[in-house]
Amino acid sequence: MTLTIADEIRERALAELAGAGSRAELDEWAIRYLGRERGELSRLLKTIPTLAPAERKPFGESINAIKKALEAAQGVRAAEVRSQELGQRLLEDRVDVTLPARGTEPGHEHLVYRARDEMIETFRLLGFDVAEGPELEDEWHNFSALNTPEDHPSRDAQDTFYLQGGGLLRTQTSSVQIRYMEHHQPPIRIVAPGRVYRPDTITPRHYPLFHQIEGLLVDENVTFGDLKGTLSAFARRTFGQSRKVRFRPSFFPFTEPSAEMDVECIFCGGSGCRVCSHSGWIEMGGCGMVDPSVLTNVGIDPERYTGFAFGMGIDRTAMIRYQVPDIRLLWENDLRFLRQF
Amino acid sequence: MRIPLEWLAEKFATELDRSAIATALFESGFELESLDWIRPGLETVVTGRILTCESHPNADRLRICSVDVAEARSHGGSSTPKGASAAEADSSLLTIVTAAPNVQAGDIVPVALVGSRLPTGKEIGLGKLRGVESYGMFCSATELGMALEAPGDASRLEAMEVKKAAARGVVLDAAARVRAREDAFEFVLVLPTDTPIGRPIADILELGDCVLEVAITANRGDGLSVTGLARALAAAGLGQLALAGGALGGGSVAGTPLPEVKLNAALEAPDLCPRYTARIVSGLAVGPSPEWMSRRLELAGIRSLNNVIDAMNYVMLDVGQPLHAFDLARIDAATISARRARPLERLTTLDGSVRDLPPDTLVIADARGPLAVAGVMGGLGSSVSAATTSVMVESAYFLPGAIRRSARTLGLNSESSYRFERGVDPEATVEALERACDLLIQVAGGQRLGAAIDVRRQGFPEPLVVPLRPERTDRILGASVSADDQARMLASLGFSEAQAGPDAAASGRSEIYRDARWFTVPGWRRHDVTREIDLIEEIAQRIGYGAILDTLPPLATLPDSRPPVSDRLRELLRGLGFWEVLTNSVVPAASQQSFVSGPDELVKLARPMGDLQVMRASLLPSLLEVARTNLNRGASRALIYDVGRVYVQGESSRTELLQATALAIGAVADGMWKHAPEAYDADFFWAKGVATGVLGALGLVDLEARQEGAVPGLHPGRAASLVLDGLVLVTFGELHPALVEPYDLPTGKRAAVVIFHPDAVAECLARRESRGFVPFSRFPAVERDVAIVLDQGIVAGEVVASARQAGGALLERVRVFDRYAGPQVPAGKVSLALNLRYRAPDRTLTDSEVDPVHAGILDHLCRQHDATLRV
Repeated sequence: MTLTIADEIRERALAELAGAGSRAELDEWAIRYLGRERGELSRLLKTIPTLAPAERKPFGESINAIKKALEAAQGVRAAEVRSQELGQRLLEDRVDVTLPARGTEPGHEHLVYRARDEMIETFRLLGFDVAEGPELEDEWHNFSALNTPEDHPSRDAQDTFYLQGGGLLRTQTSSVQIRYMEHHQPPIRIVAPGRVYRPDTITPRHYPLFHQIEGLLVDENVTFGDLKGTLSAFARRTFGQSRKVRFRPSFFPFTEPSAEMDVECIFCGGSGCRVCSHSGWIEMGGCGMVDPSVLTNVGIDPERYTGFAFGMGIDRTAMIRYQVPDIRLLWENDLRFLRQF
Repeated sequence: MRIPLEWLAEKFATELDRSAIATALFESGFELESLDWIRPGLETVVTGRILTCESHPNADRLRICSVDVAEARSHGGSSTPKGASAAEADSSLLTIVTAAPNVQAGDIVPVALVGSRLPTGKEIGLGKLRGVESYGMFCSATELGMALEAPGDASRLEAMEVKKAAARGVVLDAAARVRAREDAFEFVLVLPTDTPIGRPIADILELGDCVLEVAITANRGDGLSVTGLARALAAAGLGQLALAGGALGGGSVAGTPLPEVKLNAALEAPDLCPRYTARIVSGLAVGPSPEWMSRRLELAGIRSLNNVIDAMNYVMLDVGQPLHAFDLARIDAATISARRARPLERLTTLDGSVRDLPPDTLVIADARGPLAVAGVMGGLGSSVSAATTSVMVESAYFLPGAIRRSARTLGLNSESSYRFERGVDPEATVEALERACDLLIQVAGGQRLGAAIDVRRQGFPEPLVVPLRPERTDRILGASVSADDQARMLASLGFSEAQAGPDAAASGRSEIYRDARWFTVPGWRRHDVTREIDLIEEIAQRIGYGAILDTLPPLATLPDSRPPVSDRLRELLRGLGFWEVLTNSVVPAASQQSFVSGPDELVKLARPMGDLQVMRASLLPSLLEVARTNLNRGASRALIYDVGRVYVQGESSRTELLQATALAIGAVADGMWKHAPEAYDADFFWAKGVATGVLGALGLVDLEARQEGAVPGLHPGRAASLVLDGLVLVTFGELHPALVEPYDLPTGKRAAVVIFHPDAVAECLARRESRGFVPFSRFPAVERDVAIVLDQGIVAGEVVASARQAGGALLERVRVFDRYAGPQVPAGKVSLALNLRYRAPDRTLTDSEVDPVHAGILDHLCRQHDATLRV
């Protein structure tokens, strides 16, 4: 008879368990059936002393079996409920992802600085160190040591900013070559990015200050082939590995042989367009083998050492690369311009 | 330099391949900038594509076309950038009303723009055809000045028609060709579909005269003549030279001698003018030049004046030697001298201005005074006029430096000075003189009178012989060229091999050149080829730069330096929401005045250019300008920074310092979105958060905040620096309210300024590089909060410092978590709430251990700062 009651409790407990939909209901259920003090099974166990001795053991065993079965069922149900509840919460947490973000919008890099950093990175890969030099220069470092004659037009007041009390604003980063070589012996392998100044009237193409990156490599057995190889590697990494590069003769007072480096137009691929003035090529900068007299000027023996130097416009490169039509956009700093980079 | 193609072609015995000129030029160190076809009347006729073609509502036979002429319309305005914006591209669309029956949408046709005056004389104005404005006209071949009878024109158009048909897959028979050709003359000329648009039609159809524009670098004075360029092109393999050198008249004296005219010149300044040659031509008649000569001059960009002056200019362009004709009647040819100007001398030059001649100026003078600024410009008083019948033709060699100095000090430049400055051939002086006299007699009549004079400095010009070690060429270029090949290459450029170096010993460098080969430099290259390396450059050009193999130099060691700390500052500032801007370092003086203690501290330009006056002492004014611009344009706030140098003028030296300056104006938190903090502006404490946040990310913590009294640009009561190891790493605070108005910033709002000093930060980081790991305690801490009431003048940092001082080894950290002033505390007092954390390295602390230490600290604070505990 009592066993029948136990069975009945089990059936009822299982039925109720199936209906328990929350953790709270589960807890209530557990207390009601499995509670140590007043749980229905515990109460049933308390009736054991009233049974005949021979019935006591099988009765106790069967109650314990029911208890284990209920506990197992509770575990299964609890897992179900937890997963249901999680599903419910996830459903409620759902948001409209098209609403705006919270917090501060991160800043942007300026195009010119980005172009500079990219160029430096490539030359670092090629083993170049980064050097800097003053913008407030003297005539020796900016002109004389670079083989620019006393009466050369570039020294005129309309081509160079002179300072009150002497000195000038450097017109080229080549002055850093001299400063570096004055204090270092070969092997030398540097790039020098920086700001330079020329009294140009402001137009879409000209601004009285701009940025250049200068390179210098001096060592034993440095050749014109090394110059070409280095700059070609740079150009291909910057503008694409299949990009064609050409070098054509040019003139600078401080290099010999001198060359101008052109890169196949990145817009038309060489067939001619407005950006490259229908030539198929874009000028990247000047370069050449360091003139022996420049080496002599800084106390390096040109018979033992040879080297190459190059210079490129950073602003110009950025304008070409990102098709910026007017140099003034770079200096105006309209946030709508800056946001694009 | 501009030269007509036909003039250049004349220098060759062989046909000149036009398509190869550009390459040959650049391989020789010159650059072909453009190749233009010049035909009067076609300057403003360009190619255009018909986009749409619709019938005219008011006329049966008219149609309205929309035509794209690309950038052609902006050709006049040089200020328009090449990469024009979309808006500008739109303005290249023209509406043209046409009666032509043979055009349709898609066709590319010649378009005469408004203002054109066609070769036929027809003028194109802004027309209105039955109520619709028309901005140009489509042209037929006839209207372009071509003629069916001209065999060249007809066959060219026939070839074009064949090509057009072939593109459609059609082969024209003979009759169809003739018909197509005739149509092109009668109707609008329809060009092949691959014709670029917006280009001058003369360039496309090669109409008129072809003119080359060649860029010549400053070292290549030899390229400033037709002969010089022809020489370079021939050396590059473009053809066989046929210079008319042998056909000169020489020094023959014909006609009646007039012995009373004496010609004599003295070199009184042989260091500036080592050679002077001249000759008299008499009995000529000044008048207009023959058409062929004036046309060539005009095509070359030189105005035709009269036959005498034109002949001088023509020979100058032809051979590169500037020449000058003096009116013989107005000079004393027996007393010519090339000398320095004397004190107070002046001269009225050809352009009509009276010029004081600075003492070092080289002049040509006779006994009465200066006649010309040598090599730059002649005097008005001795110039050729309509009445001139005899001239003295001058062909001289002036030193480049002398002419450069004259041109600079007088502010006067001419075709002549341009050439002398870059160096003319000192060996070809007489040759040019005789050629000029030949041409003069040919175009103006007359005859040579007496003998030419050729006055030279002793031994001038000395032969120039330069050594070459062929193996040195290989070493410099990374190429392998045999010695004989090198000699052959030099020979093709006019460098002949000399027997030995005559002054090799004298130069003191005989040792390294002992096995060298020696080359004589031709006169026209004496100015840029004087050393071995110059010969090597010539060889490199002959090999061709492209033929030299690309190599990478070996890398023995890696570079030492790391990316600069300023790069990390930039990145961290961007992470905090600041935008990078680019600001000018040359700025108006007025903007900097409040940033220096006196104007003497500013580095100033000797000659200011508009707003470019001084070097900046602070980046802040430029950042304020950027903020102003953007706020005016509708931005709600500006968070910006720039990393750049500031410049300080010291007593005897100047310094350049790198600064990273950030400015925040407007709401840094906008409170717009749910759970976001309320909107607030960038204030002092926000600035401090930027300063400590950036430095903290670099590993620099436990920074001492130091109150700053007067930082230029900052609010004096809200400015501070962060200091570590005695180095000031950053200065920050709120913008000085006095700057709000001058920069039109929103009033009543705060703005934050943070100025990092990257050099100090780098130094600080370098010092810390050697630090190692410091062990930390794994035992729990005991925390105690306390509030003390004290004078409001006492700063929190002082209280924290004295708590630390009294705390001993167990006190791990002191933090201020509240500051209160108000009704709860007496007037003039403030309540500071502190959190103290205690911890031992080796054990869990008990209350009985902490209590006496804590009490000791409180006691110390109360006595030290006259404070009371707040209960």
